[in-house]
Amino acid sequence: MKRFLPLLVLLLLPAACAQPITDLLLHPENFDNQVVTVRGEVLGVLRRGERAWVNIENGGAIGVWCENHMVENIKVTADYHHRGDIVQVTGVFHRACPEHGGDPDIHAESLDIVEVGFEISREVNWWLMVSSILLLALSIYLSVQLRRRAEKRASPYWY
Amino acid sequence: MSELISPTAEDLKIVGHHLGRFSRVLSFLLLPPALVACLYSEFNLLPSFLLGFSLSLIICALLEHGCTTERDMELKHAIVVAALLWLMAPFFGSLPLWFSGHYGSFLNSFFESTSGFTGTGLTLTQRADLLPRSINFFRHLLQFVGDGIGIVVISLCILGRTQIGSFLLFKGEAREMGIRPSIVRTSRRIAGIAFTFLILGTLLFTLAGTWEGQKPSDAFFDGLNHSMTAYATGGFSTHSQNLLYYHSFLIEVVALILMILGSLNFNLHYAVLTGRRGEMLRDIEVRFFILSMLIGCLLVGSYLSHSFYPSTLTAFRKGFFHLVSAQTTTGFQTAPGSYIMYLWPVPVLLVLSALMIIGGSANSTSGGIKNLRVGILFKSLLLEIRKTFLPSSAVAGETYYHLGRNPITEVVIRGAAVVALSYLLLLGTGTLITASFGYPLGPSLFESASALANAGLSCGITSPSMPAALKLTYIFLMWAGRLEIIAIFVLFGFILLQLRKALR
Repeated sequence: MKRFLPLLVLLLLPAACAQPITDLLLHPENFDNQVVTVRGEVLGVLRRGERAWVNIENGGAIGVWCENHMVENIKVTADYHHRGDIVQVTGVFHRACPEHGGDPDIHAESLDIVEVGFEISREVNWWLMVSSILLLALSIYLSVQLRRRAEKRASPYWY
Repeated sequence: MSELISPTAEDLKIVGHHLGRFSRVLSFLLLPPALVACLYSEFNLLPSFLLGFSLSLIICALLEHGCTTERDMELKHAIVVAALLWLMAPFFGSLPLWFSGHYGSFLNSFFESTSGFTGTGLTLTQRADLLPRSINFFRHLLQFVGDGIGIVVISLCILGRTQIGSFLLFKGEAREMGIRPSIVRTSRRIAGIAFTFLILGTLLFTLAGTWEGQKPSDAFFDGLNHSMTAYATGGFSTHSQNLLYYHSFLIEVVALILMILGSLNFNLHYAVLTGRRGEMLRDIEVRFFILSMLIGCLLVGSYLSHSFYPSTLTAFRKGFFHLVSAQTTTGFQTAPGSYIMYLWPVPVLLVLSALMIIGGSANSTSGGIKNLRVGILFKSLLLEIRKTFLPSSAVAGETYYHLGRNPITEVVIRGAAVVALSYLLLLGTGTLITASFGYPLGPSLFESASALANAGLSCGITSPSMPAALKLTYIFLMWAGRLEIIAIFVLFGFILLQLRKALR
């Protein structure tokens, strides 16, 4: 165990240095125009010419403005079927970026992938599926029967 | 004073029957998201929608056929049905959200569904980007149907009945008449206008999204959903950052166009579409909207540029977007909630709250008191001031232009004042309740105004961790605001009279 301790420290140290994104958004005046390091899951990449926006999320979400070559290794973005890549970004934080319409953002100096994203399997609960189909059939049958009964009652030949 | 008539068993049957009939149409809303679930391989969510649909259908069938009656609705029934319909619809909508397990509790699901149907946009969704596409589509569809078209309108379009009760129900939902002589034709025209703007908006958002670096398929999905909520002045988004996700001026412009279109009176849309373009500029609502927007922009822009944003242009861009979002009662945001709550100056919150409460045009997808009523009250105030400077023998009168020139009479003023006063009373109550949970007064007022006016701008108070009592308060405010409050008072009167009868 002792042998692995330095390795563990080396691995966890960058994560410990990373600033929570919520801190940046709640107290932006403390970090304005300073170099920060954040970690987050990639929500999406929007390429704009030679640069790109990478939106990352970790409690809060923020846009990272970076060079195109930095995003080339991002393969998985988060959605319902995927856990996105976890990236560590170091860059200058702007609480209201003058270059980008006053948005809070980070202008990245480096962007590293610390965990590769993966597909999440979503199992179908077949018991629930069959039950819901049975209930659906029952509800349609019931409403049709009740409607027929009401139409019969409304008919002048109904006794 | 004449004795109030207690509701009879027949009255209850009428309410139950028509409630069942109209909500049956709404239960079918749960089917399109099931198709989306199949399209995006989210088969594990199919049971949520099927179970929700089946339960809704059974409840509606039992109500409709269990309360058999031949009588059509009178005004009191119609208003009670409209008020209950706006509770029933969110209940149905909450079922698949709850079954999907993404909202934790039934209360959270009901809150989200109420916010959807009323077109508010306050959300308890965490990490919207990771929601299944079927659930995301469903949330946006709720806003488009609930607020963009109107649940009575959609029911009338499909049921196609032209009895007097339909007209009364239409009024109960806070929609006015006027586009076409027949109520069903009017409903179909409203739906037609909504679908036209939906197609146009989807196209614009998709093009803008693709231009700004999204994959075309993602841009289309986002475009369709944002188009539904922008026109419906709803404000839900497929991203937890809302429109800030795009960092795009182009997307903001598209959203602004759709929000403003959605907040205009359906009659004005129809007038412009039929070649009467002059109506737009003469209308009191449009004039009041432009005036309040100019004043608001000046105030908010100058406050933000002096306190927070690096340049005047940036401050005005942020300010203008949020002003339009507030007054059209949409709720799209390009600033984090924490910025609005902690960093924007309190006067900015007050101006935004005031604009949310004023709201958009009558007979539009917007909430709030409405420009028409506030414009009338403003003109009547000017009239009162002018009267004091006139000789006692002089007769002073005032008119306003809204689909023709109309006189400002005592009845018109009273109608506007009653609604405005009711809104202000509920706003005060909502603010006090929010503040009693320890939130600062400014943000409490802002969040309550947002819920009551069905706006949806949030400074961060609305979250899954907020107290249950506050969630219930906001559900009530959203419901009351959507029905312009009076329907709620009628419903309470109906229930109280029934209780009094039962106690006797």
